[in-house]
Amino acid sequence: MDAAERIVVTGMGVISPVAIGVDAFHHALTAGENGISVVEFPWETGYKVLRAGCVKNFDLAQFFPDPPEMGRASQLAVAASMLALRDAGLDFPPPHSDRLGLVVGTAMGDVDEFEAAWQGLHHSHARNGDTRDLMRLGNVSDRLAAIFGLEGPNHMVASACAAGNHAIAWSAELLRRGEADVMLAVGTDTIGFVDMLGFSRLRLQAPERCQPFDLHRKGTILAEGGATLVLETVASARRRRANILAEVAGYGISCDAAGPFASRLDDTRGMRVAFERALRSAQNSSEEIDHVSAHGSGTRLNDHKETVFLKRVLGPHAYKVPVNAIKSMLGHAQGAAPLFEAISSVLTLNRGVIYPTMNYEAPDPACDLDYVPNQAREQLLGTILSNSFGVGGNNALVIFRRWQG
Amino acid sequence: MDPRSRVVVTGAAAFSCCGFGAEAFWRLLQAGTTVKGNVGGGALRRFNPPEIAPGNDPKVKSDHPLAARLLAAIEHDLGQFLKGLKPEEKECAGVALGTAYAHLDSYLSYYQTGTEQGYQFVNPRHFPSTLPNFCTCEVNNAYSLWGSSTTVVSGLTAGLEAIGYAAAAIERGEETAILAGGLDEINDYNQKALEVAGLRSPSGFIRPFAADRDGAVPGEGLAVLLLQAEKGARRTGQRPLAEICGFASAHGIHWNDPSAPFRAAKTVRQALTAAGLDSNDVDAVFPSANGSVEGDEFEFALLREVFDKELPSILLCPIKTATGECFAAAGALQSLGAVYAVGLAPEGPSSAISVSFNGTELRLAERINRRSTALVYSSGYDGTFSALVVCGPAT
Repeated sequence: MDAAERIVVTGMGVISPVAIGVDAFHHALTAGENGISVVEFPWETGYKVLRAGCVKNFDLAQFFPDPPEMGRASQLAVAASMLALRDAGLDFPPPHSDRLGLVVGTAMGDVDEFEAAWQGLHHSHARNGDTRDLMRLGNVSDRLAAIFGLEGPNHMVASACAAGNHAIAWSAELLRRGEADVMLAVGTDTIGFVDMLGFSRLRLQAPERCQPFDLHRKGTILAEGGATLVLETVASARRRRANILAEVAGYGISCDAAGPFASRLDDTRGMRVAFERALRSAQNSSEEIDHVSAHGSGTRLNDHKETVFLKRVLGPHAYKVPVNAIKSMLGHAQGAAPLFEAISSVLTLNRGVIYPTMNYEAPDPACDLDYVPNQAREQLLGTILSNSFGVGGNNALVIFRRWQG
Repeated sequence: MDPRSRVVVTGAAAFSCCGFGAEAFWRLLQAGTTVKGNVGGGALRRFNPPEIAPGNDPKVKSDHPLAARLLAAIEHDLGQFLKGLKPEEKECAGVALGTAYAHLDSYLSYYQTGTEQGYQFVNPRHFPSTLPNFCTCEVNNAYSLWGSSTTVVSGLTAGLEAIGYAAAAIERGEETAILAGGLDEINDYNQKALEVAGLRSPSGFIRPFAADRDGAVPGEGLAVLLLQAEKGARRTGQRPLAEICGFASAHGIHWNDPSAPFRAAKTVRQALTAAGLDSNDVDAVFPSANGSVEGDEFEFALLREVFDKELPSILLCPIKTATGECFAAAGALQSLGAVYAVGLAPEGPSSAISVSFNGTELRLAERINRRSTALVYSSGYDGTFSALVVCGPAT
C-alpha cells in the first residue's frame, strides 16, 4: 500500500464520563476511575435506581463562545471535534475546506430534540421554523460541518452501538478513494429516556456496575459521550508535517443476520465475516493481533459470545492476547463507544499501557481469556483489534497499528 | 469507475403510491400518474401482503409497518435471487439503505407509551425498532445476508447516498451484491416540517418548474436497487439493466444561498467526472424538483449552470409529480426511474411538454424513450445534495 492509501490518525478528542480531553482520559483509564453515577428521569423504567455514565461539568460554551442551540449529542460531538482538530494542528475553517469532511456515527442522534419536538407538537407548545432541522437525524453532521467550515464529504451512519467504528471505516474509504485529504470520524450519543427504558425493560441494564466478563455480570450501564479521530492519508500527514499517532490498518463491516439480538451463542458467522474483512484489508494474520479492545458490554450473552468468537478466529493465540473492556469504567456510550475504544487503542499503542477491565471479581469459566483485570498493565504493542457490535446485528471491527514511519 | 469493478443494476424493488413492485412503478410513471392531495396525497393507503403480493413467502415478514412493506417489496421482486444465493455468496452480500425518518414513529410511540402510560406498558421486544438501523437489519436478517448492513441517516438525500456508498463498496471488491436504496414514511413530524418550512402545497398538486407551483405534497415509499459487480452478474446470468457510473455528494447547499447552485453544479460535475463523462453526455435528468417555489428556483439555476445553452435539449423527468415528496426515499425512486429509462424504456419518440421557466424553455417528460445517460440528483431542504450518474448497460 502506498502513502496515498495508508490511513493514519493525527488527532484525537474525547468528551467522556471519566474525563474531558485525551491526557485526562488516559490518566483516568489507567487509574481505573469510575464514570458511573445516579441518573434521574421524570418517568419510571422499572428500576428503583438508574445509573449511567454521564459527562459531568460539560458546558459547550467553554469550548465554543456563544454556541448555537443544539441537542446534546451534537454538543458532545462539537466539543470532541474541536479538541481533535486542535490536537491535529488543523485550523478551522481550514484553508482547503472542500478537502476536509466528516462521517458521524450514532445510534440515536439528538434524541433530546426529538423528544422536545414531540412535546411541542402534542402539547401545543409553539415551535419555530427550526422544526425542519428538529425532525431528522442528519443534523449532527450538518452542524459540525457548518461550525468547523468543513465542505468535503459529509455523512452520517446509524449502526447502533457499532456506528463509531463504521464511521472510521467509511472515513478511511473516502480517504483511500481520494475524495478528501482529511476526515473526522466522529461518534456521539447521549442518554435518552427511550434507550434507558428499552435497556431496562430488556433487563440489559445492570443495577449498579458494569462488570464485563465477570461471572456475576448483570448487564451494561448506558452512557453518553462524544469522541473524534482526525484521519488522513500518510501523504497528507507528511505534507503538513503532522504528528502521526497510529495507523488505521484495516476494518471490516458485517451483519449477524440473526435477528435484532443475535441471541444464539454459537452463531458467530457475522462477526467472523467482519474479522476476515478487517484482517484482509490490514494485510495482517490473526497471530499478529497483540491485543483486543473488546466490545465487552457486560451483558451475559454478549460477553460470552465475544469470547467464543475470539477463540474461534484467533485459535490458541486467543489465550495469549490481553482483552480489555473499558466500558467497565465508562459505561456503554452506544454509537460513541467505538470511538472511545479507538482512542484508548491509539493511546495504548503510544503510551504502552493496556487499560484495565474494572469490576472484575469472579472469573467466569465460559469467559476464560486474559481480561486485564482491575489493574492497568504496561506493555508495548504493535497491533490492536477493536471490536464493536450493535443491536440489530451490526458488526464493525477496526485494526490499529503502531506507527513506525 | 474503471479500473475497479464496474457496478451494474440487475434488479429492483419498489413500493410507493405509484404501486407495488418496480414494474408497476415504472408503468405508472410512464403513464404520467400525478399525485394529488394536500394531506397524504402520496401515502400508501392500503397494505395487505397476502392480497397485494399473493406469491410472496409468508415467512418473510416483519411486525414493523415500514419494514413489512420493505420486505414485501424485496420479496416480490428480488426474493428469488436472494434465496438462490449460496451461503458463501451471502457473506459478500449486504444492504445499504438511507432514511430520514424511518424509525421516528416507533421511537416516539415508545416514548409516548413510557411517559404517559408507564414503563410496564412498553413492549420490550419493540425496542430495536426505535433505532434507525432496524429496517436495514431486517433485510439482512430475512435473507441471511452477512455482508455489510449500512443505514445512512445524513438527511433527505440519504437514499441516494446509500446507493453511492454501496456502489463504492462493490467497486473496491468488498461486496459482490448490495441491496441499496431508501425508504421513508409520512408522519406528523415530516408533514409539520414541510409546513413550517413553507414547502407544502396548499393546492395539493405538485407542479415542478411551473410558474404557478405552490409546493410539495408529502409522499412515502421505498425503492431498492440490486447492485452487483458486473463480472459476477454476467457470470451468474443476471442481465444488467444499467450501470452506476459516478456519484458525488455535498452538504450545506441551502436553496436560498446565492452560491448554492454553483456548489451543487460542482458536485454534479464531480459525479460526471467520476463516470468519465461531462454534461454533453447527459440526455435525461431525474431532478429532485418537488414543486416548491424556492427549491425549483435553485434547481433551475443549477441546471443552467451545468448545461448552459444545452438545457432546452435535456429531457427533465421530475417524478415527484407521481410519488409526492418521499424524503430520503425520493432519490432512490428517482434512481429507479433512471435505471428503467436507460435500460428498459422502449425505443421511439419521447413525449415532452415545454414550459418556460425564467425565460428558458424546459422539456418536461410525459413519456420517456430509451436514454443512454441519466443524471439523478437529490436536493433536500436541509441542505444535503447528492448526484448519481446512471448509464445504459455496456454491450
